[in-house]
This record gives sequence, C-alpha cells and structure tokens, in this order.
Amino acid sequence: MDELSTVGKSVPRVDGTEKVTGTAKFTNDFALPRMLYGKVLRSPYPHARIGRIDVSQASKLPGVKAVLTGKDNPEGRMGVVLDRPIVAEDEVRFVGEAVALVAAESLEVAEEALDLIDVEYEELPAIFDAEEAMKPHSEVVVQPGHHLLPSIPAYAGHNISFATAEETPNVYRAFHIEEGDIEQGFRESDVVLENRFVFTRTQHCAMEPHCAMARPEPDGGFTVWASEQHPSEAQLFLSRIFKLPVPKVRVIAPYIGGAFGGKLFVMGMPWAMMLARRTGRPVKVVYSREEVFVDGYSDVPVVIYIKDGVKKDGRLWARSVKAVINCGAYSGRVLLLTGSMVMGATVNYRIPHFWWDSYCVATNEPVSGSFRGFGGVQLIHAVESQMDMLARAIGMDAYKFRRMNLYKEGEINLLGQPTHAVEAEECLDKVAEWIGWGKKPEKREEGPWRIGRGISAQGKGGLVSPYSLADVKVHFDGTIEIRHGATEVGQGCNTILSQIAAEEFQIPVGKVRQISGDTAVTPYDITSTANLTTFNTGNTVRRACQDAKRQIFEIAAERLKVKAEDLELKDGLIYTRGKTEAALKLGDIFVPGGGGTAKRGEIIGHGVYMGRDLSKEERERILKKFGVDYMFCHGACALEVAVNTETGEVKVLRIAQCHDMGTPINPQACEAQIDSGNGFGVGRALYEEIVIENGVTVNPNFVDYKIPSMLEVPLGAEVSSMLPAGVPHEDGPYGGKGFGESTNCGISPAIAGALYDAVGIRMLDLPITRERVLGALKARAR
Amino acid sequence: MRPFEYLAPKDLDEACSLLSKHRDEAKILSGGQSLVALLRQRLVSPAYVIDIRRVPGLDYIREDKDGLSIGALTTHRTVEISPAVAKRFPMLAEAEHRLAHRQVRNWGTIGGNLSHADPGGDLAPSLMALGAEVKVVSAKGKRTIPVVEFFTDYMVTVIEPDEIMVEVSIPYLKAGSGGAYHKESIRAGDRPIASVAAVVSLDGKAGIIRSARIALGGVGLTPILAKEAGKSLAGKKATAAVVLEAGAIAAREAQPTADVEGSVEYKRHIVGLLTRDMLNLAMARAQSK
Repeated sequence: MDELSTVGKSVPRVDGTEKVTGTAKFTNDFALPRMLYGKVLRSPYPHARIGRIDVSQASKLPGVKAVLTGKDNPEGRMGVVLDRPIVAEDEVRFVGEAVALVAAESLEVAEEALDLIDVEYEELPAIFDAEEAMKPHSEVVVQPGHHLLPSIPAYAGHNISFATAEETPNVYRAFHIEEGDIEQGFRESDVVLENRFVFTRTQHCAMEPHCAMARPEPDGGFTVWASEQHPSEAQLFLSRIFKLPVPKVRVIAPYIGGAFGGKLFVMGMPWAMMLARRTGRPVKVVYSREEVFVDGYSDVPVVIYIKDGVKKDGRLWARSVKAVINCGAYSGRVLLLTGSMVMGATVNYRIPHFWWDSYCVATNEPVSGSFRGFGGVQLIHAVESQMDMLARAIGMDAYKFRRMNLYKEGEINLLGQPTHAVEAEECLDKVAEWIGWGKKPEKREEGPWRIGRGISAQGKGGLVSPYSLADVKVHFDGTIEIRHGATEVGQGCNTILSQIAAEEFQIPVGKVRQISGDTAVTPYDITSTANLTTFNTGNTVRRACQDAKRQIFEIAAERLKVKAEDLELKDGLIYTRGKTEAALKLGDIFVPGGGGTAKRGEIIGHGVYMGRDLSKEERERILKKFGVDYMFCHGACALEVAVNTETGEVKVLRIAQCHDMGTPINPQACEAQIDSGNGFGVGRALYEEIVIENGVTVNPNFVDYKIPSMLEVPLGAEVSSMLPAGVPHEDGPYGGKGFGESTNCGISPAIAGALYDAVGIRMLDLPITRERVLGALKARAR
Repeated sequence: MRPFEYLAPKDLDEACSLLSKHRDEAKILSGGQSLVALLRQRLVSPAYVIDIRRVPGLDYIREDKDGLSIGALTTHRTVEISPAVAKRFPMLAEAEHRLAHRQVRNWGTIGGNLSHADPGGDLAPSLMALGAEVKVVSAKGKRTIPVVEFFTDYMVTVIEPDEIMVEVSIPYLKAGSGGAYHKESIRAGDRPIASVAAVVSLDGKAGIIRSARIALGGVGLTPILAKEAGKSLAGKKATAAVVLEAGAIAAREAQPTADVEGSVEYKRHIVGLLTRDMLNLAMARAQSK
C-alpha cells in the first residue's frame, strides 16, 4: 500500500478542544423557549397491581401543566420485543417503573407534584432470582405470554431463538450452539474441571445522565434531542410507538457524555414526547443519578456454569457452558445477550467439543441492558479463570497453556467464521514480557501485603448486523462534509472518520466537517456499539468518499478530455496522473459562486456497508449457526496486584494490555481506549456492584456505588497500553477493525489469577471485594 | 431540591438574629458540601437557608497559649496545609488529607463538618481523642462544649436551633504524648469502613502508658470515644499484647451497622487492626518528642 498521509497517524481529536474548554454541547446544554420540565413517578413495589391513581392534588399545584398516567400512553411499546409500556398500565413489574409523568414550569415544581400523586397498589408476589424464575411452573410469571412476542425488525435476524417452553414462561429467550460431541470430549479429557461463577449488576455510570428534550412540531410531529447511541433506530422506535410517519420524528443526538451500551433504549424520549404532545410545549426529561441506577438498563446479573476438559499435553478438548441471564422485568436489549455472550467462549481458543446454552430470564428486578463488552466481561472472567485452573491442574504455565490453544489466522472458529487479522499470540507475548512473566517480582511481600501476577487472553466480536450508511458532500471550497448516523459517544469516531475522509481526499483533517446523528440529515446507521463504528461506519464513509470522487473525476474528465481513472485529487486540486502541475481546481467544476455543478448539482457521495461479501452458501451457513457475520478482535492483559492479608484489600500495581485492531487508524486514540478499559475493568473486578434487596436498589449514588477514582487505578509508568504490529483486516477501512469493548473484559480474570499467585485463593465471583477476599483467606487458614 | 428563601447575613449578629427568628425552619450553609447534597436529595427541606460564608472573623487558625483555635469557617484545605496544624497536631492534618477530595476540601469547613455530625466524619475522632472543645454562639450568649459531649444521635448534636458553631479549640499535647489517625475506606476519600484516632501519653523513662484516648468513626450512630479500650492501657507497659488487647476492646465498643462499606464483623475487625496500628504510631510519635 502507498504511504498513508493521515490514516495511521495520531492526529489530535477533532472534538478535543471543544470538550476540554467546555464549549461542546450535550443534550442537557440545550433549552428552548417555553420549555417545561418532565419528571417521572416511579413504582416503590417490585410487582403490584395498580388501582386508583389520584392526580387531582398534583394537577392543582401552581406551575404543573400536565400529569399523565398509563391511560395516556401512545399505542406502541418499548424494548426489543416491544413489551414495556411507556408508563405502567395495569401492573408494575419492578421498583422504579414509571407510573405517572409530570410536566411543570420548573424542576422543583415537577418534583413537588410527584409527591402529590396518590397511587393505590395491590402488592403481588415477586421473583428476583433468575435461576428460581426459570424453573418449570414458576408461581410468579413476570409477563404471561411474553415468550411469544416477536423481535423488532432490526434484530429479527439475530439468532435469539424462541426455543422456550410453555412450562417456563419466565424464560424469554434461549440460545444453543454446539460442535463435536461434548460427552465424548469429556470422556477423552485427562482433566475435567467444573465451576459456577456469579456476577452481580453494575452500572455504566456515564458522566452525562440520560436526557431527552422533545419539541412538538406544528405538523403533529416531534423534534427530539437525546443522549442516545442509535438515533436512526430511535427514530424508527419512536415513530412506531407514536404511530407517526417516520420523518415526522426527527431525532438529534448531539455529543454524548458517555454511553457504554447504556443509551440504546429511547430512554426518556417517549416520556418527553407524551408530555410535549399533551402540553403543546417543549419538554425536557433529565434522569437524576438515582434514576440512572434504577432504570438506566444496567448490566445484567449472570450465573455461569462452565465445565472444561483438557488433555495432559495442554490441548483444550471440551467445554460446556450454561449461562443464566437475569433480564429484569422487560426485554431491554438483553435478549440479544443470549447470543452475544457466546463470543467470549468461541472466537479465541480451539476446542473440538463445545456445548452452549444460555437463557434470558425475566424477574422483578430493574430492566437489564447492554454494557461495554455485552456479556464479555462475565464470560471471559469465567473462561479465563478456568484457563488458569486448567493450566495448574495439568502442571503447565498459564501463559504457555493459553498461547498453544489460541486460534491462528484462517482457522474457522466455533461460530463457523474465519479467524482473521489475528495477533492474539503477539498480544499475549507483549504483555507477558512487559510484566516479566516467568521472572520473580522484585518483592513478594511487604508487611501484610503480598504481591502476585496474573495474565489473561480474550477474543470478542459484537452482536450487531453491520448496516451503516453515510453521505459525503463536497463543497466548492474543498471542505468535505461527512453526514453519518454514528454518534460521538466519546470513543473518538468523529476523529477516525475525519481521518478516513482526509486520507481519501488527500487533505488535512481540519478540512473535514461532520454532521452526525440528526435523522433529518444523516443516513441510517444501526448503532454506535459493539466495536463497530470504525469498521462499519469507517467503511461506509470511505465508500461515500470514493463515490464523491468518482463524480468529481467524471466531470473533470469530460472537461479535460481525459479518462476519469487517470485523475487524482490532492489538497483541493485535480491532477492528471503523473503530472506535477494541477489540471483543475476542485472549485472549477462548480458553477460560479459554488452552489453546485452544472450537470449533477451537488456532489454528494453515498456509501453503504453491510458486512463482508459472502457467497450465498457461506452466508446461509454462518447465519444459521450464529445469526451475525462479524469481525473479531483479540487481546491480552497482564498485571500485578498487592493483597493485604489483614484487610483483604486488593490494589492493582501495574497493568499491561495489548489488543489487535487491524491497522490502527489513530494509534494514540487506540491506546486511550485501552487506558479507559483499565478503569472499567478494575472497577468491575474489585469495586462495582449495584446492591438490590427485594427489588429495591440500595446504593443508587456515587457515595455508595464504588467507582474507582484515579487513586484506585495504576497510572503513568505503571500502565502500558500496547498495540501489536497491526495486521490489516482485509475488509476493514484501511485494514482497521474495532476493539474498544475488549479492553475491559480481560482484567478481572487476570486480577483473580494474580490473587491466586499472591495468596493462593481463587475468587470466582465478581466483584472481588476486600471482605470477600478476607473471608476466603480465613476459610483457607481453617 | 425544594424552593427555599436564601439569606446571607453580613455579620455574626445578623446571622444569630436570623437564626433566633427562623429556628427549626432554617439551615446554615457554610461550605455546602454536606447540605447541598441533602437539599438535592430532598432529605432536608428548610424554608430558609442562611449562608454564613460572608460572615467575617470565623476563618483563622491561631496558636494560643494553651492550645490551637480554629475558626468554624476555616476550610479543610486550610487546616490540611497549615504549618501550625502540622507542627502541633499532625494527626489532624492527616485526617484532613484523606477527607474526601481536594475539590471538597477547598469548600467544606471544619464547623460545617462537625455540625453535620455524620458519624463517619473525619475530624471528630481526632478531636475527641485530643480533648477538643467547640464554641457555639446565639443571640442569647455563648457556650463551650467538649467534642466528646457534642454528638447525641445519628446526625444530631447538642447545638440548639438558634446556635452557630464559631470555633474549635484543641489543647496542646503534653511532652511525651503523641497522636495518630487513620481511616480505612474502600476508595481514597470515601466514608470510612472504620476510622480510629489514638492519643497516647507515655511515662518516658519507664515505657509505661500514662493515659490513652481512643476514638472511633463510622462505627455507630455517632463518633464513639472507646473509653474501655483507653482505660485498659493506663498504667500498663506498652507491649504488643496490651495494644492488641486494646484493639479487641475497641472492636467490642464499636457499634457498627452493616452497609455498603462493610458488614458488622468486618467493621469490628478493622477497628481492631486500626486501633493496634494507631496506638503503635502514636507511641512512636510520643517517644520521638
């Protein structure tokens, strides 16, 4: 490939100055004239029948403009299977479900009005434990008949089967995949090891809480500004819910202050729209932090049973997994997790005999959602903890054992898809070398502290069918305007996409402008999730650029009487190949004044990416097996911890991660993604846990829910975020692929391994709190 | 947050007269680091908020003849970096250093912290162990209250609705005395799992503990003076065994409840460890004087 000018360079973020200086605008920064404030009354019961709702006192409060209940609901519902009413109707099914809405002239009045709404509840029996709820003939059925509901179109292709039975009505979805003969696999294994891992609920804790502002339009439609990761899908959701023609709902997602999978559910938007429709005025709904914890579609509690067989020579021989996923009261996006989670066990290691069952089970806990890693954190923790224990059982080094079982380039993985652009071995080697794997640490103990090291490897993909569109408009002054439906959630996509366009047009990044996430202007993009924006939207933008260049060259070729394919573009000048002097300025092909071109009008290139080109046969095989054809990323983590044997406290002292990402479009941005994964991973491993007692969230705030601060994670020279050499992905833009979700998945098992190395205890469940560590130390001493 | 009337008295007299007028209906705002959170969560809904930040003469650290006096409006950060505090009471500077984060310490005041009376507050244990007093004033006059008598129940103090805290005074340690404080917390700057302050006075030549005062934070409805643990050390030779025993007694004197910071057993366990460590550190400091 020719030397690239912009792609592959660590150019500064295009949104950096705005964000650092505080001029970047997020949804909550916007206000409209005559805007009202919306608030939500939420259920105090996990399961109850709603009786009379008396809103008369609240309605009388000066400044209150509307009080709405489930009776005022629009026709449609929310969720992947459209099961959640916008406001609860006959029953509430979790603590925190919306029961009534208020719009008022001020936030204070709206909050006051909530206290004046009188709701009669008749409590019903509730169920919280997913394993309990999935037993046949459960006495509590969260939503009778739920398993018969079909998925909405965007997710219909995903392999989330309906293989659930009448006698287990709380099992919303089940997913199965197998390879070889699992029983034979275990019979042939020299060592078989089985464990149960339990994971509690965690929150994304995006800095910006969920927020939506809806303005009613004179034509009966709405404009909605929202902190939302998939504006294109949101538009479709909302038009279905309100039975409006699609273009009558315009969704605008400005900068988003963090999402991590938590802003995918049209959250807050239908409430703002209901209130706007009733009052005829703009309404803004901003979640409090407490509301984010209670109804922010937190990560799922999961129980994983895993049984592994291994040969004495180190070959992984059989693996069976059963995952029970606590979906909460409504479908959220977690139905997809039954399939998504499997990637953590199927794309990294070669295993001849494999069996997978996952179940998404309804309970009366808050609705679960997707979370950076989408099941990867939990599954990779279980798998990698097993890898440590298996290596030990056969007397092999944990690093060598992993390395010998990694898939190599071209091998077909357990999802039936090829391993490609894989640098898993190099990643593992790099982190092992950095941490000094195999060498003794400088010190093993100091006072009550003991030092240990751990390592992990991991593979992941993302469960979203690629489908992204983008337009690229060429202005006569040489500015390139990208219109894409992805969202800048902080991951840096606007910078990456600018670099791709700058490369295509051979211009500085500063000559590229973005319009993103506005459904009136920007084309469809399935979501900014699942590692896919660089890969999908990147490909799409590149194709749109090429389409625009083709149009330019056709016009110029006619003018210059040369062949279009002999033309080149650089810095706004058109060259005939081989000539050093420009033949035309880009502006020359426009009419004087620059409004457009004479024959073609505006130069707008269109791009579309819908995944790899597959033969019909190949596509059918892959879709039958898994539902989504995708790219996979691989990585490794090594770290060192100190454990206080008196208090149980665990500190991560040093940490290294390395991830393959094809050709990195912006190496520094990639390193920053890895850095951010460290904080996420350490938090999940050691600190974070939403405590729910009888359906009630006990710690919905940043005092009681412990996110590690800068003081709890290693920094500076104690951190190494590495990239391997960079094997280009043949289908990625400039060889790039995504990887951001992987960076928080391998940390907890490495910490668990380091703990074992330091003090000889094996912690299976997360989070590994100091009290649990102390308990395990005491149990071992007995 | 519920609406309230905001009042900003210019001096102490005006503040006192506003308080005597509005009494229970008013809340005092100083740094706002505790009150604003309570207002936002609507845990308190006063009709009046009396902002005393502009009241002059309450922001000082003064080395008096018998002790150190700190004005109630002095910020945590000022105390943390004060040379006088570092010289006289390093344990207090250490407590301040781990109190929340610097942004909070830049705003929060010592008077606000004590009046808020969170049982996990970082200052009360040290002040109790050091035998400090607080001065409060009202339109009717002033009074002095030992910190050990200041807290009566969960977030309740002996301060009357018309009173304002104006000063904290701490008697200097005698020769051969030393103090130490540590908070064990899940994250740096968090509320404590448990915190322990110890002040020990040694009979230098004989290696005998003349007296010891131990105070506990975050393990009861109020900060707790662990009297029995302190008493158990008086007159004893400072051995590892008596220190451990004092820790065990302090753990029994603690009255923790289970919460996200830890279980009852774990908090007691931490009280025992910290008591041991703080006694040892306090004695080492006492000997170095």
